[in-house]
Amino acid sequence: MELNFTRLKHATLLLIFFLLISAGYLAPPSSFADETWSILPLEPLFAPLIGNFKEPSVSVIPVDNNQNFEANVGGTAELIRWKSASDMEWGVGVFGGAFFLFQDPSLSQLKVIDWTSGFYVSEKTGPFCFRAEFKDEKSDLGDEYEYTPPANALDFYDWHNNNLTVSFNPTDQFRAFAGGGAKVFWELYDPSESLAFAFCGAELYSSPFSILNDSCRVYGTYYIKYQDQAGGTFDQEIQLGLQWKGDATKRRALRLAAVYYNGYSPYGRFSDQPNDQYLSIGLFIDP
Amino acid sequence: MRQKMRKLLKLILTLLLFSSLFQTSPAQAEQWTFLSPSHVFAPLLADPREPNNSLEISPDTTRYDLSLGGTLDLFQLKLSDGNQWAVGILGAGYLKIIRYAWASWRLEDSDLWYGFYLSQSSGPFSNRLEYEHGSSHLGDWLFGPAGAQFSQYDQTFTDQQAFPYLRDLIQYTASYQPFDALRLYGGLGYWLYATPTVQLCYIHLGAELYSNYFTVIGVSVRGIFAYDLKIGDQVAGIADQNFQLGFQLKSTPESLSALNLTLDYYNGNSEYGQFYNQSDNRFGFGIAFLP
Repeated sequence: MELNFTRLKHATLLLIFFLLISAGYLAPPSSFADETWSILPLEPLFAPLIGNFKEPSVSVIPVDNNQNFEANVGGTAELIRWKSASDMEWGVGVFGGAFFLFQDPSLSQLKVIDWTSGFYVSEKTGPFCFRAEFKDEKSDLGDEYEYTPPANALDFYDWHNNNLTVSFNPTDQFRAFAGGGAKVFWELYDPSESLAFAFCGAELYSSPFSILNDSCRVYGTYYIKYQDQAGGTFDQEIQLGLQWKGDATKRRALRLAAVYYNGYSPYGRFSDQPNDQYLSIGLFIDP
Repeated sequence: MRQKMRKLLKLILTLLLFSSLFQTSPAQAEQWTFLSPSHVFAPLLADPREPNNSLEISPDTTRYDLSLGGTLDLFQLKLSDGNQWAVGILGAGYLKIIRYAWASWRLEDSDLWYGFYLSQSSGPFSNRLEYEHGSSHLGDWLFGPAGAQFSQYDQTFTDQQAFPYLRDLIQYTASYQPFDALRLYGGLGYWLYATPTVQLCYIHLGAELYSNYFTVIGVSVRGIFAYDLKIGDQVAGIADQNFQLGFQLKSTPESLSALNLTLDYYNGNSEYGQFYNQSDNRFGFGIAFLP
């Protein structure tokens, strides 16, 4: 009964969340004159959160003095863009990502791989942008543990969640975001931990300056996430680095940043293991 | 250490030899572009190991092949004589996924490759020389005594013993596209390092055919057929073939991004490292996001 109640609670909360968001847009837009459809835009309407370690991305991060090596591949593909009014756009797309943790940069020993996929709907009005995602997350141990399975790993990690992110981007130099999510209502789980999560963060950018005629900015990001698991976990990541673009008006960029992570392990099979902390240099590609 | 130095020297020499074929005077330099959205060497459609974002679903819906990654021209140099050069990076993860129950998937194999390349184009000709490093890893649910069988959800699976799979590859590909509707390519792959040991090189050939564009509900569509062939890739005498037939969707014909919807047929040995010496024949529906 408790399980059903918790499920119902999550489903209701999620429904209210979506209704609140959509309520503002149920009224007819002021003008349909600018209504346009397009497919496969080069950049997603909702710019991916660059400070979120589980956002599909392309990056490499040596950690723990090269004792571990993270390599991530993946991205977001927007399928359809609908401009419903002069100040309102919608996007529908898919995403996928794989997060590898190796013993070393030679890639010889894989410790764990997380892989995620899903789809999203996003909306943008002025400086506000929303993204609702359905996300499937899985985690598998690597061949390093073939003969000696780690005692501290979860037996299984496979879950679906719905989540919503609200982003506020008043200027090119500042972006704040917050959101939350929960397991989809049809999944069974331990009623003592709902796995509901909430997160927030910010991105700060300097004024652009030129290096070799290309646009550069210093940037910093902060991301913190709370999840109702293992008695409540907090994970946070800070990035401070340089963003390098060929075209300042496009999202495509190369980033080199100092990365600090503190919290529970970001890898699913080790997600109830605390005290994962590292400071490293990461190379990121925003496609 | 000495072996590493030899490898590095070999790589530098190869790059120099390659670049000397296309030397131009500094006065011809016209335009540098950083992080261009286009490619000097257009990615190959049907090569299963070309980094891209794609998913192939087998019709019995128990097998999914997910590819995540891409190629990125870091610097492009456009010369006044029409020559274009690019230095870029590539990286991709290839995941072989098995659906064992409704909405439940397990990972059988994950391969990761990354590297860099030098590419050049002039008129209908383009060339790419790439270096790649890769590894392959068995999914944990198959860990167990090799050959042992187990059942889950009315299906029978076979355990396999994971083995170290590491590769360093140099691959050269030359492409000829005399007109928009046809592209031919060919090249060689050379294994600088391979564990387990394999024969040193393989031949790579392929073709791409395109129809004219037509419009469907405001979307530019064209038919595509692509064929890729690797002879002796890791296992002597084996031909790995991949066929794709379908449609390419774009917002406009000039758009750089595209969605390919294809019927795929693969025949040969598995392209996944942990299964490289096992045959693999499959038919599937493919969806790929370009670039």
